[in-house]
Amino acid sequence: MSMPFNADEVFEMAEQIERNGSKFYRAAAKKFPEVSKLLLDLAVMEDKHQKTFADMRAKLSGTEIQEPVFDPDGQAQMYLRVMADGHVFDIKADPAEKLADKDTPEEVLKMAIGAERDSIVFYAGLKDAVSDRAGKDKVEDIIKEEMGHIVILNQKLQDLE
Amino acid sequence: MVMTYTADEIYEIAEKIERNAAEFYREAAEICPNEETCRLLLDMSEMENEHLETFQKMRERLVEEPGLSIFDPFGRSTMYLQAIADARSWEGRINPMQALTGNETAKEIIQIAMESEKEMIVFYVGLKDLVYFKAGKDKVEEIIIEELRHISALLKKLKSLG
Repeated sequence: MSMPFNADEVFEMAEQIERNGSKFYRAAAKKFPEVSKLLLDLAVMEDKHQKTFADMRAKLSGTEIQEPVFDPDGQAQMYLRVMADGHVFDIKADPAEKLADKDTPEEVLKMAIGAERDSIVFYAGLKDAVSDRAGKDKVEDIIKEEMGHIVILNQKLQDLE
Repeated sequence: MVMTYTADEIYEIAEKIERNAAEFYREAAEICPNEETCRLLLDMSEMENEHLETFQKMRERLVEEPGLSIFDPFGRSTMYLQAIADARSWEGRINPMQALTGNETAKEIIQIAMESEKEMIVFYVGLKDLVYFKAGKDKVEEIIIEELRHISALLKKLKSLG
């Protein structure tokens, strides 16, 4: 049987997703100078998200850290667990390595859109599990910003095509 | 050129997504070689039909109360939905049925279904942003949560298949 998540683990996972995002964008910017400014801007935005999650995690009291996230029927925990176990969202994979077979800026932008979509799916689950007091509204803000990243990436893709 | 959607078009897309998903699950249940997985897929199909009904009702209300249209003062959400639609077209999976050949294993069917569920969530997150609370924002949120639960159920089944 899967162990339930506690709030600390959930926020740690979110931080790791953002860390992966920044690392991916920085590595991609290095490989594709044509789109490096956009990718570096996105890396900075993911850094800010990582800090938001780190702050949310830091604000948890000693008791809250060990307590499961707000999830009366256990459903939210179940999908956070399944999303993080590598089948839907592989947070352990090195994001920079995924660039190895990408040869054009178009390919890397499409890959970035895919990664942003995965983040949105994960954060939709996270938002459901986080209480108002723990910062549900902040998760919602981050979802909106990730949506904005998809728009920016898609606009750049259209400019290149 | 940036294209924008009307409220009616957005609900029409949502209805199409649910209709396709319900059909996909029904067809997948017919070709699925594993009986227990078939039952899960048929249950999913039923739930997608319920979502379709919800979107149909929300769309009907637009005709009765045009004031309940969409709220997108800067056009950001419609641009997001357009970006998601563009991404679907270059991935070549507008309709999940296109991916089925009839020779898939139960595991492959579940993996296709999980990807489709992810696509639905990504679209509905944008849709929810556009919809007024009175027009059913909470209903879209509920549908997102149900689609997230579908992913959990599908993955649980995937794991049980070994």
